[in-house]
Amino acid sequence: MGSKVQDLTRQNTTPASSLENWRRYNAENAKLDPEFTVGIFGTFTTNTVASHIGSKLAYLADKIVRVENGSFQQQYALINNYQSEFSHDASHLVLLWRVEDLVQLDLINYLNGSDLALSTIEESLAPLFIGIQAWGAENPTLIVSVCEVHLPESVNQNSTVIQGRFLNLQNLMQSKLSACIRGKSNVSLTSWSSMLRDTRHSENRDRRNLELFHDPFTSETSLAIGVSLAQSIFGQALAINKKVLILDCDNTLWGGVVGEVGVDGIELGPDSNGWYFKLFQHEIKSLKERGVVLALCSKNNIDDVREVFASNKEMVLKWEDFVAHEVNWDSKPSNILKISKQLNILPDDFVFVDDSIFEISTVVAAISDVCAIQVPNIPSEIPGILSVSPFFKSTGHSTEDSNRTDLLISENSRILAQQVQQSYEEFIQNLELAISVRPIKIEDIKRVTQLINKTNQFNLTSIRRTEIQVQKLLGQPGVRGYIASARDKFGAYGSIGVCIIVDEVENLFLDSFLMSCRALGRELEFVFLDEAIRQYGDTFKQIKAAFNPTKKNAPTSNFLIEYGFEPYESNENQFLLTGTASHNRAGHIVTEHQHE
Amino acid sequence: MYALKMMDKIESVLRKVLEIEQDQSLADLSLGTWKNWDSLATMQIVIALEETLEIRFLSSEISQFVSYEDIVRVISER
Repeated sequence: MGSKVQDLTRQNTTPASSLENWRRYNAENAKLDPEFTVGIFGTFTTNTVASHIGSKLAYLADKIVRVENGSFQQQYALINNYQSEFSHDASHLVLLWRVEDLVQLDLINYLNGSDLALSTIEESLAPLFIGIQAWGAENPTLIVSVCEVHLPESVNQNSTVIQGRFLNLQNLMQSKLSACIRGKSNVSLTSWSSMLRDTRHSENRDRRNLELFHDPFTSETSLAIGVSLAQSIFGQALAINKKVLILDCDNTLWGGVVGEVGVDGIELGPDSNGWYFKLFQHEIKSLKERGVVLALCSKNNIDDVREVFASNKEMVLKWEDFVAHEVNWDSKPSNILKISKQLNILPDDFVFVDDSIFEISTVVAAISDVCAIQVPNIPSEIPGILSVSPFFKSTGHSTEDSNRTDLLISENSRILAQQVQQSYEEFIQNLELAISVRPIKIEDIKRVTQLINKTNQFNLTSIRRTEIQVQKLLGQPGVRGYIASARDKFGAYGSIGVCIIVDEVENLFLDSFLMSCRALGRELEFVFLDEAIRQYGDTFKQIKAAFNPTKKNAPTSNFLIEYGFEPYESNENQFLLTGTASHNRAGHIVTEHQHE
Repeated sequence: MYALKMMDKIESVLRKVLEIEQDQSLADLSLGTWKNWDSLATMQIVIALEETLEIRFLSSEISQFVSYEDIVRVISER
């Protein structure tokens, strides 16, 4: 994604324009293979909802998206045999169901007082619950709707007894579904009420559409459901996950200019506009806790800013929450480049937040890959600007995410240490580096997938995979994956690299080899590959590697040559390794194996 | 003038939903003769026409939507 200033205006799409967008998108991409497929099946006609899901996903995601409809009312069979319904390898499946579509008469009888009907309903729905309960970890991510929106029209809508029985049934279904999905990381529930939260219309059902098309919803409701599901799927699988949030101070973290109004004059706290800035700080803090790294970039006297952090009791954010503090009178682009160098993270993983359109324009003009958000000049509109932006949508996060600020602070200690060493080589020698390489276990899948999808600079192929795809790949015969973690005298690096090796009978194939940028420059990658090859087995074969060049991963190609791979078949991106060698050249890295 | 504008809007909706090129005539267009026109396409035509013309069709009206001529007639009779 190139330079982008986030337009905070909500996408104002009508049902017809959403359907039109999806038709046009499909026509334009008809000949391309989908990169992300969603399958929908339901107890009613889901085509309209499916189109809205597709339209929204196509707007949000930077991938070729396909949305397919399963056969109508085949939900029981589909739960057990979804592959037969969808022509492509679906990453996500959505099951939309309503009790009244499946057991209409029993539902009405139950609501009108028959307890026997409740048993019949439970019996009828049992296969559905069993299917969900049996949903395997190797299957695609499944999203299941919970219960319906309204009482059936044929019962007395005003009866409190009927309303009570209806509520009872909804709770029963909810608890049964919750029990079915317990412990399943690839199944989630979504309620109609949460999907319809943003609709302005009080009436969601459309009797005419139900009679004519077996679609129970108004067109606006179908749009709201589609958008909600698309956002949920996007958050789970396709979200842009920027790593660093760079923040201005005045009129961003607090109201007013501290250099003019003083520490006590800024707007922050329970009164008037200060409340909105405090809420915004809470929003930033929660992103930090999810692993987003914070940095300050402000034209200010650093002593003024430090004093706000030190003495203003309303500050939610602390000075230590930020890993970089570029508070000076230099240009913001130069300060952002300094932050990039300090963190060893490319600017395309940065989101810059400032109230000044001048500063934003200067930054995005100078650093083409930075994304930016302008803080609204009406304070009440500030809270929520980060969560409505597409930059921090990931729903899953690992231990590494929570500890990222600590990891980067220890990295800062390394940088300071490097500055007092005589040479870089001496600095590396004295780091007391240790690497641990071991086979990937099931509990590593989340972190492995995250590394596969987030690592840009040192990544052999940059092929992105979902957790399910990683699990499937590692489950194939002859495929073995390894995860590396490292530490030095300043602290742990956490899990830093992934290597996946495939036995192709004649040779081994390096399917994936990647390492987090924070571990680069220490020759850990050489020892990691040594160790992965050693652990793969004693029978050493030639190793092939196919380098997939991107705008960012040139360091990987250089590594292959340095390691000893050679290009072959006249293709500069196909590499072959024919010999063995120890690459722990300086002997400065202890491996877990050596420890043992 | 109003009728002409309305005709343009109906035509535009049908061409978009049913993927009909500008040089093709809609005169003989019907549910049975155009490959892209099925019940789902009818649903999309209804949604698009209702939004474009700011009207709400009755079930009895939609059930008559089997050709371009019929759609124009039903809307004209409102």
